[in-house]
Amino acid sequence: MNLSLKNQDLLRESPRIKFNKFLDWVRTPHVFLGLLLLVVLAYFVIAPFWEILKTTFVVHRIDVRRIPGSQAGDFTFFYWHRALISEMRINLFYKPLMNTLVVSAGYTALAMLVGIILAYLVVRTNIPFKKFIANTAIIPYIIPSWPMAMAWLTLVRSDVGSGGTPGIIQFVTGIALPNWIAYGPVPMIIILAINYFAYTYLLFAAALSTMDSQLEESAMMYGATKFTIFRRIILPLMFPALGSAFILTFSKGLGTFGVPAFLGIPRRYYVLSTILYAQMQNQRVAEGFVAAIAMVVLALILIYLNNRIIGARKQFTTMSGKATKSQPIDLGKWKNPIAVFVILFLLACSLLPVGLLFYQTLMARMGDYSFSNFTSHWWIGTDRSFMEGHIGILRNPRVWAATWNTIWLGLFTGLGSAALGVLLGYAISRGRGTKLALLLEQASFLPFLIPGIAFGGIYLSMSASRMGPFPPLYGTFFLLILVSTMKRLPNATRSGTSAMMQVGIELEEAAYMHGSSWVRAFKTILMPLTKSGFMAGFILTFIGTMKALSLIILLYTPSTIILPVMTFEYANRELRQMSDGIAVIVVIIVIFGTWLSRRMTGTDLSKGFGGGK
Amino acid sequence: MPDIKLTNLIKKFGDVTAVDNLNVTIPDGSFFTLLGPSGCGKTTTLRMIAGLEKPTAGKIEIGKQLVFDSVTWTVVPPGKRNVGLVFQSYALWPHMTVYDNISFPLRIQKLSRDQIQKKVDGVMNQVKITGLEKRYPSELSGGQQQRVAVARELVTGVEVLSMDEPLGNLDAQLRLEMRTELKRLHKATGQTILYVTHDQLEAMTMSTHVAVMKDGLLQQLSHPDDIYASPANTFIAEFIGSLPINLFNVEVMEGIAYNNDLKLKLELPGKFKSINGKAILGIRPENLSVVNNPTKTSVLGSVDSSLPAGSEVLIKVSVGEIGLNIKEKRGMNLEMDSTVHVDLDMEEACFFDSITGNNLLTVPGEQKATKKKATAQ
Ligand SMILES: Nc1ncnc2c1ncn2[C@@H]1O[C@H](COP(=O)(O)OP(=O)(O)OP(=O)(O)O)[C@@H](O)[C@H]1O
Ligand SMILES: [Mg+2]
Repeated sequence: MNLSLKNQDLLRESPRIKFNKFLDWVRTPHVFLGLLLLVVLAYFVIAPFWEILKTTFVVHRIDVRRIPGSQAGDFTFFYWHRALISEMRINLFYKPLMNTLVVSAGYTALAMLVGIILAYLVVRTNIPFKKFIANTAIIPYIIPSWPMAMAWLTLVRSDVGSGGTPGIIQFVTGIALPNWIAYGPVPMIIILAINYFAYTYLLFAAALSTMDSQLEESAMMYGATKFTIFRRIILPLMFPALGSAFILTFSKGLGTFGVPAFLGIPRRYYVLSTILYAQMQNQRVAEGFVAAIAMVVLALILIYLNNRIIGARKQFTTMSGKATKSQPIDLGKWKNPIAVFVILFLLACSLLPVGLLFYQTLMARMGDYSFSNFTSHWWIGTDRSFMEGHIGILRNPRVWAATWNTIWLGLFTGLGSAALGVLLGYAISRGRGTKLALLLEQASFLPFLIPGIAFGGIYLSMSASRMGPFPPLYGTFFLLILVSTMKRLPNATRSGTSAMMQVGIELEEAAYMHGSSWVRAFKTILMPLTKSGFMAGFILTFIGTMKALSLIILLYTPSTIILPVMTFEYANRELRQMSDGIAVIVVIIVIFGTWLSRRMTGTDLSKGFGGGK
Repeated sequence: MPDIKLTNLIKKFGDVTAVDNLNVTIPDGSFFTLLGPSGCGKTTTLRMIAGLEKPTAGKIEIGKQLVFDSVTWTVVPPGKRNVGLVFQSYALWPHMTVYDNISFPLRIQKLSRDQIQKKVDGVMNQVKITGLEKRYPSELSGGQQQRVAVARELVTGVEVLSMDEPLGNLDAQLRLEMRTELKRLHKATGQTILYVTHDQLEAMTMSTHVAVMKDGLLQQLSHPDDIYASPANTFIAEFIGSLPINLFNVEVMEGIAYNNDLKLKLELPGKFKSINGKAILGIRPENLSVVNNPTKTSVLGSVDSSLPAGSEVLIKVSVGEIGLNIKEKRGMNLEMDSTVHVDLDMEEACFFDSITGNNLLTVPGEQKATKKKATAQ
C-alpha cells in the first residue's frame, strides 16, 4: 500500500516517465490514428469552417474601394452591417431567409402529409398492390431533385409574361398556366415535397407497424370512429416518429440548391442557397457567407430540436416491442379506386418526370410537342450545321468526358470517404469515451452543417493557395475529389463507426495476443469484417456524388465538369434538350447504382437512407 | 518456466477501482483460479496480465521478464508475453475457417507451410476437433468453438494459458465434460493455467489454487479445500459451497459458545481456545446431523422442511429466529414441525469476527486476505 503510494508520487515527479507514458499513449493504435485524422480534419474541415466565419469579418481586396479608409485584411463589420442592417438587407438577407423558411415549411408539411397517408394505407389497410406501392414510394427519393424541377418546367411552362417557350400543357390544351405555377415557391414546395416524402413514409410506416394495435382496438370498443381514432390515438402516439421525420425533412431541404436554382433564379426568387450562389458569382464572397452562416445556424437549431425530440422519445413506453398484428382496416368499395389513385400518383412522381425529360430531348424545336417535330438529333445527331452546331449527346465528346469525370469522381469520392469513414470509425469506436474520440466525432460532423454551395465556396477561396500538404489545387480534378470526400464525411463516419462497433474489440485483441501488428490485424481481421459496411458506404457515396450539383458548381472548370453541373450549364443557355438528356443519363446512373447496391449488400433502402443527398 | 508475480497492482477506470492493490504470486504449473462475483475485477486482472489493459500502478513479472512496471512505465506488448488468452466470447474470427483461425499465430511467426500443418494437426487432435478444419466458426457448436479457441492458444506452446469464463456459454452437461478435459489438459501440458470464473464449483473442482476476489480486493488465496474448510471471512464462507453455510451470532466464554435467544450452548474443541467474546459461528450443512438424543454440541429445533434430493436429503430446521440448513444422507425422513436435536460437528466450525467478519483463526502458511474491506455480517 505504502509502496504504491510512493509509486504514484514518483510518477508525478519524473518528466521522463511522463514522456514514456505519453509515448505509450501515442503508440496506442486508435490514438495514433486519431491524432493523424485530427490533423486531416483540422486542415480540411475545421479550417474551412473557421474560414467562413473569418471571411465575413475581414475586408476583401476587391472591396477596399467600397469601404472607405480600409485596407485588405482589416477587421470589419461592413458585410454583416450590409446584410443585416443596411438598406440592402431586405434583398440580401431577410427576403431570402423568409423565402427559405416559407419553402421549407411548405414542402415539409406537404411531404409529411403525403408520407403519412401513404404509410397508413400500406401498413394499416387492405389496399391491394402493397408491395408495388411500397417500392415505388421510394423512387422519388432516389431520383435527384433538380431533374424533377426541369421536368416540371417542361410540363407547366408557358409563353406568357416574360416569354419563353410553351410547355406540354399549354401546347396540348392551349391554356397558359400562370407564372407562379412554373416558378417560385409553389413549384419548389411541390417538387421538394415529392422528393422528400419518403422520409416521413419510411419513419411513419416503421413506427406504425410496431405500435400496439390493442390501443387502437380498445378505442374502437368505445365506439370511436376510424378518423377519431387516427386523430386522437394514432397521431399522438406517432408524435416522436413524426418529429424525427419533420426534422429530417426540413434539414435535408434547407440547403438544397438545384430546385430553387431552376425554379427560382430565372424569376429572381431567391432562397439562402441561391443568394449565396449569386453573391459568389458576383465576387461578393463575404456577403454570400453571411447567408451560409444563417444556414448553419438554422441547421444547428434543427439539431437542437432533434435532440430534444429524441430525448423525449425515450419516455414513450406505449409502443410495445411485440406488435400484435391488427386486423387491416377494410377500405371496402373504395379499395380499388384508392389503389389506382395512389399508383398513378406515385408514377407521376417517378416515371412521369423522367419520361417528360426524355420526351423533350426528342423535340427538334422547343415548345412544339407534336410528332412532326420529332428528331433523334439531340441523342445521336452528327450534323453540325443543325441546331447551332450542337451534336447529339451520345456523340458529344464533352458529354462523354463529363460522364467519365462524374464516374471517376463518384468512384474516388466513394473510395476516399469510405476509407476515411472506416478509419475514423475505428478511432472513434475504439476510443469511445475519450476526448479525442469525441473531438473526431464532432469535427467529422461539421460538413453536415455547411450547405454544399458554401462548402464549395470556401474550398474555392482556399484552393487558390496551399492547403495542408497540397499545392494550390484550383482547377484540378483532385480538388473536386477532396471537397466531395470531405462533404461526405458525416455520413461516411457514421456508417464507419457503426460498422466498427459491430466488430467486437476482442476479435482484434485476439490477434494482438499472438503478436500481430496493428496493420496486420486491420488488414486480416477488421477490413474483411467491415467489408459490407464499407461497400454500402461506398455505393451510397457514389450515388450521392452523382447528384451533387451545389458542391461542385463553384469549383468546376471546363475540363473537370461533371454531368449535374453540365445540366445546369445547358439549362442556363436554354439548351433544354441537351440539359434534359444529360439529366436522364444521371437518373439512369443513379437508379442503376441504387439497384446495384441493393443487390450487393442485400440491404433494404429503408435502412440505408439518410445516406444520399 | 515462469511464476507470475503481481505487485501492488491497481487498476482504476475513472472513479471505479476495478483492481485494488493486488499482491499475488501465481506459481509455475499451477491451475490458478480467480474467483469472485460479477464485477469484482477478475477479467481486468487477467487482461492486465495478458497485456491488453494497462494497470494504473504496480508491477507485473512473468518469470524473469518484467512485463509491466508503472514506476518506469515499462510496457511489454501482449504478443511478447508468452501468454495465451481464451476470451469469454472465444473471439474466433468469423470470416476464417477453423484451420485459418488456429494457424494464425503460426503465420505471424512465419513458419513454413509444412510446420504449420503439422502443428495445427497436432493441436486439433489434442483438443479432439480433427475434421473440422474447413468449417467456419458459425458452423460449430458452442463446445467445438471453445475447443478451437483453446487450440488457437495452445498451438504456439505458450507457457501461460489464461481463460476468461471459458465454460460460461456452455450448457450444464457440456460444462461437466469440459471441466474434466481442462483438468486433463493441464496435466498433459504442465502449463500454468490462469482461470477466471464466478462459478465456485468450477473453481473448487479444477484448481490447485483459488484466489477469491471481491470489489477489486483479494479476499483469500489458498488451496480449494482450505478455502472451503477455513474461509478467511464470512463473504467467502457464503460464496463458496453449493449449499449456503449456516452463520449465526454467538458469545464465547471459556470454551463455550452461547446464544441465549436460541437457547444454545456449545462446547468448543481445544483449537478454538483463543476465542473469547462476541463472534459469528459458521458451519456447513454437511457438518450438522439430526440426532435422537441431545449432545454437548446440539440444539433443539423444529423441522421446517425435509427435501429428498437423490443422494442426499436437505433439511431445514428452525431454532428460534434462525433456520439451519442440514445435509443428511439419503433415507432420512422427518415429519414436518416435529422437534429434533441437531448436532453440530464443532471440529469443522469456523469463527468470524462479529464486526469485520474475518476468520478469527489464521490458518498458517496462507496468503492473508486484505484486511481493509472485509465484510461484516
Ligand atoms: N473498460 C472499462 N471501463 C470502465 N469500467 C470498467 C471497464 N472494464 C471494467 N470496468 C469496471 O471494473 C470493474 C471490474 O470489471 P471486470 O470486468 O474485471 O469484472 P469481472 O470480475 O470480470 O466481472 P464478470 O464476472 O461480470 O465478468 C467493474 O465494476 C466494471 O464495471
Ligand atoms: Mg469478466
